[in-house]
Amino acid sequence: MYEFFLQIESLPVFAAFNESLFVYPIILGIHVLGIAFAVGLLGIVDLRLANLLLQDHTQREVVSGLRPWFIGGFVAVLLTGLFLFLAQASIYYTSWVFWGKIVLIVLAGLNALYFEIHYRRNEEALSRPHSPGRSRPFLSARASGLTSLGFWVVAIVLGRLLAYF
Amino acid sequence: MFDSLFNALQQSALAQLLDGSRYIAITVQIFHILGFVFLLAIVLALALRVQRLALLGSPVASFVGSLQRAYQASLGVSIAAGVLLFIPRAIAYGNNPAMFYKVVFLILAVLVQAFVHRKTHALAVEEEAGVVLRATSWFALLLWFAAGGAGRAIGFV
Repeated sequence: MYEFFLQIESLPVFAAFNESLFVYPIILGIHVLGIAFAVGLLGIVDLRLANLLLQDHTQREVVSGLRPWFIGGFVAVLLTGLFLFLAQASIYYTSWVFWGKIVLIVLAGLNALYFEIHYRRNEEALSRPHSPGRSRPFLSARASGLTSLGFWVVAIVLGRLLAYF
Repeated sequence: MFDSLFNALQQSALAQLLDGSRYIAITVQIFHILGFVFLLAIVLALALRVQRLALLGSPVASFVGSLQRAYQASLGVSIAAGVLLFIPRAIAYGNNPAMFYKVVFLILAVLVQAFVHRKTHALAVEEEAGVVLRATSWFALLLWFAAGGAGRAIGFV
């Protein structure tokens, strides 16, 4: 597998990318700013689900209103992230921090999938203006929001630690 | 002009403390990044609502008001962490052109954002933002992203 990633890395497109003075920081910049769209907006949604932010607005309003934007952000992050990974695949392949980050992103994705299923089943309850704090749909949404927030914060922390470990 | 100030900052006891451990530097960097990501997200959500591109069910004035404290808190965290990152490398960062642009964009962004918040608060409950406020909101967002981009460029210049 390591040899495979070495071969990918030496493809002309990635070799040129690694040697470029401007393209690398631009792609990295788009990746980081994409994180603001993706993880940042999702963070606002998570804080709403956890009942810690925007309590005057229904969960449905916040989730539905921001969903297309954070999904768009995730597409940008995924594409730029894949490019950044493939350009230095042999380095990332051997990094436990990188794989830790990937595991957390997968777990966050599974949590999002669980929430989507839960959300579809309880859409009416989650559309009410004031959250009945102890009802099951709200407790479940709250747990899902806090879990998502935790996964993404640790994933960002690991992303930063990639420069050190 | 600022060289003696940067020198004094870098020689200070606080700078020595911050520079003494890699883990302190990493922790401060993480707070800076998380604070800035959340700050950008809040500004982005506000801009989307002011532009009528999202969250149309929420009155614009009430939505902006609901995020005011989160905006202030994330701005405070990212600036405080940014200052702590600056101090141990004051001479290098102080003479880095990307850092200069970051600070200029940041100051402009904070001022323009304050104007957007003030004008939005003045709107009636069901009133939407006018052309000037919407354009200003775009401009604020552009300034925030320029500040973020300049910040990212610091390591490459």
